[in-house]
Parts: sequence; structure tokens; C-alpha cells
Amino acid sequence: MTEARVSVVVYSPANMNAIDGSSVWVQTVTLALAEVPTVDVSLLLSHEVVSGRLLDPLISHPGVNVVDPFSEGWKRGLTSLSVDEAAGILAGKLPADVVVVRGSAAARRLANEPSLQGKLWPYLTDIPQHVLDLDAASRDLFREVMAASPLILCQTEELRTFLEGCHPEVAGKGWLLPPTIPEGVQPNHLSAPSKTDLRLCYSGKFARLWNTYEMCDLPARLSERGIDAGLTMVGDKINRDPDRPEYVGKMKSRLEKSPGVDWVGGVSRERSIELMSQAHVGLSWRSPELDDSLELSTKLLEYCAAGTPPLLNRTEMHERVFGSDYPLFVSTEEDVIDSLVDLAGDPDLYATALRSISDIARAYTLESTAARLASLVDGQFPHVLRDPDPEFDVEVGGEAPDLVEALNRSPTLSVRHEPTNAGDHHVIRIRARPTSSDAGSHHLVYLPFGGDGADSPGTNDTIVVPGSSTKRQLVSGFDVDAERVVTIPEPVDEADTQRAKTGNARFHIAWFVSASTGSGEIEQVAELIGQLRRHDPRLILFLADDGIDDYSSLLRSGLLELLEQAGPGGVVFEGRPFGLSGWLRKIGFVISFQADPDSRTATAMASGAVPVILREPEEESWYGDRWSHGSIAGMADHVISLARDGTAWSRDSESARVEAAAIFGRDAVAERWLSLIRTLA
Amino acid sequence: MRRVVVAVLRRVAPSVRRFRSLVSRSASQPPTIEPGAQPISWPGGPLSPALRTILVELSVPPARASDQALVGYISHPLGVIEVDWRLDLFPNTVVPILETARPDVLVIDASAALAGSPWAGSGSEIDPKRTWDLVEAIRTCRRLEIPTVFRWDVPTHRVPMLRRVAETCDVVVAAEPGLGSDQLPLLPHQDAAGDEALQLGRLTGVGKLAGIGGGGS
Repeated sequence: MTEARVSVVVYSPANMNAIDGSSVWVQTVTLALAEVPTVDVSLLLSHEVVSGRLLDPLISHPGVNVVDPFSEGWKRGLTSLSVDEAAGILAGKLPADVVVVRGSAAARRLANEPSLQGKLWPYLTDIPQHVLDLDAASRDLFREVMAASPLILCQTEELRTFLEGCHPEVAGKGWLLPPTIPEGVQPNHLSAPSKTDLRLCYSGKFARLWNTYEMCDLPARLSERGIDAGLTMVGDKINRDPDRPEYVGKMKSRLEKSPGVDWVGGVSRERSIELMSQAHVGLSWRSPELDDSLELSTKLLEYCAAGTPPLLNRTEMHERVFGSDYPLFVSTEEDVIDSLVDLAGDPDLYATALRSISDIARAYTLESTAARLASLVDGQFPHVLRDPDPEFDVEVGGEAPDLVEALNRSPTLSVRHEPTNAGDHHVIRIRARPTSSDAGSHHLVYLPFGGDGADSPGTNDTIVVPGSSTKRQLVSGFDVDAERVVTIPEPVDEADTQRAKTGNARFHIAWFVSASTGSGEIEQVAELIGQLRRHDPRLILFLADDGIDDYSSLLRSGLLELLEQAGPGGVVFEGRPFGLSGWLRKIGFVISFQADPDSRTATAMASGAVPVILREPEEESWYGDRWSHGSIAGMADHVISLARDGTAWSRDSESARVEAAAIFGRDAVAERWLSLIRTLA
Repeated sequence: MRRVVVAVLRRVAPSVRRFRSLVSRSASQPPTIEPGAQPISWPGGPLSPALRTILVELSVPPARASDQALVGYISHPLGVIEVDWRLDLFPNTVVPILETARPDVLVIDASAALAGSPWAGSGSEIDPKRTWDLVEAIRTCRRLEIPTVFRWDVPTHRVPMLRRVAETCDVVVAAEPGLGSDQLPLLPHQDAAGDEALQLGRLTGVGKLAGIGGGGS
């Protein structure tokens, strides 16, 4: 690794001479990486160059190194590079800190290359996206690929949540990389459509499930309703349909012969968007069989960038992007006709649709993708942001990856992690030494789990604990001088928790238990859930544990009573959710009976789950007073009132999210540690 | 502990016309349910045996007379069809309860996947494990030769992952015209035609269901 630079190679078996989803993705990701100040990006081609339609912008870009193994003489004979050959080049002639790889077969092959371990950033779309499609082969794929990959790039939140929920190897490693639209697209605001002028456009592949065959009927059908409409069809790829061998011929005939249809064939991406912008409406109406897709169509975003409202299926994902009140959601062909007839006669409806799409494209620009990638690179390679003259050298001894990640957020700390250099169990030893003086090191002991090991610190060490009740136990139980004990909360990766909640998450309550959860707490939860369920049977307790194999002791401690109080279906046991942030998307509340937050409860709060805490009013806590209650009845009243009022719940959810980031977020926690270390110095 | 909800059948007036189409639909072969090429188990391990035993004990219905029909039911707390003997099924125990209680039919409401239900998230990407639980329930019924009925009572786009799951059931019906897909046979809530148990019996060919009526026990 060169100093303060990260070398990234983008590789895909996609043919960059052809324009399709894969090659366009490779182009845009490479261009976005070139905009990241700390990155040197190369693109390893897999096919001999015969067309510059996609490659010219890359070749001419000063920040992109296009590596052509054919002109380099690394590849002779055939016009394409095999994945094995690519693996050889990446392992030898083209070393990199990161290899962004698209496609499961390529990712799997590279994952088996010893020199690429820990360097892969895979982007996979050719994978099962429904539980009915999961099989042993797909499990093996993720096991192998993720063993070599610190993260996986996902196009949508839906895909990330699904993969993290299916594959334990993916959990916590999903990073969003939404589709990107080209730079410089200016929306072309046409005058509103009318009965004598309704221009439609479709761009993309022609395929049965994409309803392109039916689309060719639209001008004729609209004519029957008194609308003079024209349809521009853009693209030259007609997909074969195994169930209907005649499809290709029939589709082509439709494109060529349908009245009112102008088939322009394949064009560059820029020309395609230009043609979109000359239409009133973009067509993205598909078979309902695609409604469970976890991918967002880049074409949809291009319609928005072109200023052309798309007609599209109503799905949860589309509602998230376009808003549930977007006026051009359709399902059947009759809906399509009716919507277009309405649009041709109602300029206000068209204006509403235009307003709805005006801001959508801004979230998917090259600039925003580059910003996401920059954040990703900074997180993965903290040294690139580090001050060249750090204030302190910090050594962390013991298993404390979350703390190390938080400390790495501070550019003035040079952090070294020695996982094996631990003290006793659950004791993290930290040594901080100023770099600018000969002063000796300062020793700190971090006890993230409280009293365990409290008797082992040296007499002069400063002890850091996550909360004030732990501090109190330490002082009273181990006779530790209170002046030596400092409270700093455990850090939470708040960026990972920023995921949209599902609709009506406010009916779902999380409770985190461990094998040591006491009978008193279980009895309190039993009372609470009993009160809640008597009021509203939709209030469900989702009980997550930390990997408990045997619930016998919890059952003896009152869990049975809890189940009785909750009634049938009132409690769902989730085990240990392996994609915690994804799982939290459905959680509206988190309950706790401890004044000191544990990391899972804090993570839930950072996700926007409203914390409902039982604690004594005088007890110090990181939780603000608004989340704390003095009785079970108070907790129940609060949950019931917010479950009844979705707006109030949303407001509190957002407040919880903001407050958690300010207290438990990595930056906030790093700042506390830096202040402490400076104080000691 | 008894966990059977008993409801009183109020109306017995089935519509013959409506069920002609149901019978023809139910005669068709549902698609395969086996996931992927090779069957797999869900990662993360099973529920704690002690907990599972307790949960099953809490859920198994009491013994019933041999001519009494039992409907296994996966539903939302606020949306229920009315049948005499209903066995509510929940994610953690659905398979052992099906194996133990052997209901005469399994009915799955699409709305079970909505928020406010223990099955929440099974209709979307949010909770693949819960979708998997549903698939396991249907597979268990297939193995035990228990007919399965999927009832669309919410639009497909609200629970998109259930579309393919529904296709693996023996019978697919709609609570209202237009739900699920065009022209599905109807099995509405408390419809004027009313006797859901009787309708289920006709749909699935389960004689005990078709024969029961009157008050619950």
C-alpha cells in the first residue's frame, strides 16, 4: 500500500464493448472511484477493445488507469480473458489493496486466490433473492466469497437486508452502493401531454416479464380511447424465453410493425437518456412476477433524471423511492391505459408526477456514489485520513474490535490493535503515549462488561467503564477509588443502523436477553407484555438472545409466566439475529431494565427503535429522561400511546436515532476517549 | 393448556357457483416447494430444546373427537376466518405443532406477514427466516398430506415474497375480487355466503370440514 493512498482494481467478466447492466455498472463505479481523493483506480478489462462507447470516458479520464491485458501482451490468442487468467494478473502483475469484483463466479474464483484474501469487495446480482431459491450451492458461495471479503456491496437496502438475514457470513458486512446515473443529465421539461400529443418511451431489454410485447399495443389501444399517442422503443437486445421459443420473432415483429411505435434500436446511454427526455412518460410497467425483485432499475432513475415521470408497478421499494402517493403506479394493462388517459386530460396530474420525481435523481448521482465510496474507503483504511503527526500512539490489548474502530475515527490517534495482548478475560488494556514528548505511557483499563476483572488493574491505572451503575458497583464492590473510574459508553456503528424502518414497526418490541438475565427482569417484562397485549394484540415481543443454547434456567426464572401473560403469538424467539441492523428494521421499541446501555440496546436505539427504560429517577444514565420510566405501568402507557399514534412514534424514533448517534456513535465515543487521553497527558 | 379458539358458525349458505372455479383450481398441481437444487437447513441452529418443549406443550390442542375437523391457521391477530376448531400456528413451533396436532387443513392468510403479527416480515426481505418458517410449514403439510390453502387478503405488493410461496400451496383463494391475481376463487371474511369451514372443505376435499356446522365446543 502506498502512503495515504488506496489502490483499487475494478474487475468484471462483463464485456465493456457491449452496453448492458453489467458493463454500465463497471463504467460508473470506476468513474466514481476516480472521484475519491484517496484512491488510485484501475480497470482490468476482460475483453479486447473493439468499441469505445463505454470505454472512451474511462480511457480519457486522467484518474483512471485502464489496463488492457491484450495490448499489454499479457494475453494472446482469444479475445477474452478467463477468470483464472484475471486471478493470475491480480495476484501478480496488478497488485491492489482492493479488488471490486462483479459476478458470483468471478468473485468465487478470486476468493480462492491466497494473495487476494481480505481484499475483495464483491458486488453480486446473480444470486438467489428468494428463500425458495436458497440451496447448498448458494450457501457455499457466500461462505467462500465472504471469507475473503471484508464487505459486500449491495445495490439496495432490500438486497442488503435479505442477504444479511439469510447468510451469517454476510451479516454486518453489507454496504449500500445504489445505482448511479450519468453526470450532466438535464431534465427536459415538456409541455403537459394532451389528447393530441402523448409521447411514451421505453428503453432497455425486450423481455416477456418486462411487458415489452404488451407495450407495443399501447398506441393502438389509446387511439381507441381518443388519444393520439406515440411510443419510442430504445434497445436492441431481445431476450429469449425458454417457455416461449417464438417470443423473439414475435417481439421483433411487434417492434417493427405496431402502429404508433418507433423502434430506434440500440444507442449509447447518453442518446438513450436524450430520447427519454423527449417523452412525457417512461414505461417501466412489468409483470407482477418481478414485484419481489430486490434490485432497483437504473432505467427508472434515468427517466427521473431526464424529467420523464415513469409509469411503474406499485411495490414497497418503489413506494420508498417515489412516495406512496406517486400518481403513476399501475398493476394491470387496464391500469396503464386508464392512467395514460387520465394523464392526457389532466395537466395538474402531470405536474404532480413531475414534482414527485424532481428530487429523486439527486440521490443517485456520480457525486453521491463517490461520496459513499470515499466514506467506505476511509472506514476500511483509517490510515489514509490520519494526521501525519498523530498526537498519541495508542495500543489496545485484548479483543475490542468495536473500540478500535471507534478510536480509528480520530485522526490524531495512531492506533495499534494487539488482540492477543490481553489482560484477564473481558479486560482491555490500553496504553497511550504522546508522540511529541518523552513522557511515559499512560495506562488505562477498559472494562466493557463491568466488574469482571475489576480487581486486576494496577493501582495507578485509570479504569473506563460503560456506565455509572457499573462505576458504582466497582467503587462499592471492589473498593476502587471513584476518582480513577471514568464512564465512556460502548461505541455503536451508527452508520450501519441507519436503515429505513418497515411500515408499522411501532407494533414490534425488542428485548435482548442473555443466559444471566435475572428473574426480576423477566417478571417485569411479563407484567409489561401482559398489559400491552391486553390493550392491543398487535403488540408483539421479539426476544433476541446472544446465542443461548439452553433456555432451562430462563424458564425456571419466570419465562413461562411471561409466555402465559403474553398469550398465544405474543412472544417470538429470534435466537441471535445474525444481521442485527437489518433485523432492527422491523423493531419499533426496545425495552431495557438497566441504567447502563448494553451495546445491542444502544444499537437498537441508534436504529430508531424508541427506548423504553425502567430506572430510578435519581439514577445516572446515558439514556435521556424522556426515555426513562419509574414503573411498568409508565412503560406500558408510553408504548401504547405511541403505537396508537404513528406520527408521534416517528417523531420519537427520529429523536432516539439522533440522540443515540450523539452519545453512542463512533465519532462521539472516539472524542470522549481522546479527551480522556489528553487529560491524562 | 388449551390454545384453540372456538368460534360460532353463523351462516351456512355456500355459493355453488363460486366454488366451481375453486374445485378446478385445486385440482391443478402446485409447483415444487423444494428450495433450490439441494434441501438445506436454516443456519443458526434450532430453538433450545427446553424452550421448544414448553412452547409445544402450550400450543397443542386438547384431544378431539374423530369426526371433528381442525383447521391449522396462520393469520394476523386482527384478521381471522371463522371456523369451529382453529389451531393458531406461530413461527417458533409451527412444524412440531403440525406434526403433533395433524390438522385437517392449513390455511395461510397473506396478512399474517404484516406488522402486528408474529409472522411479520415474512412477506418481504425483512425477515427471510420467517419466510423460511412458512415454507417449512407448507413442506411439512405436503409430507403429512395435509392440504394447504393460501388466502390473499392484502394486495401482493405489500407482501411480495409471498407470491411464490402462495404458488406452492394446493389451493389459492382471494378474500376480495382482484386480490392475489385476477379471477381467483373467493374466500371472504364472514361473507353472506358465509360458512368458511364448509368452503374450505369443498376447496380441499376434506370431508370433515364440509360436514361440520353449528356451534363450537
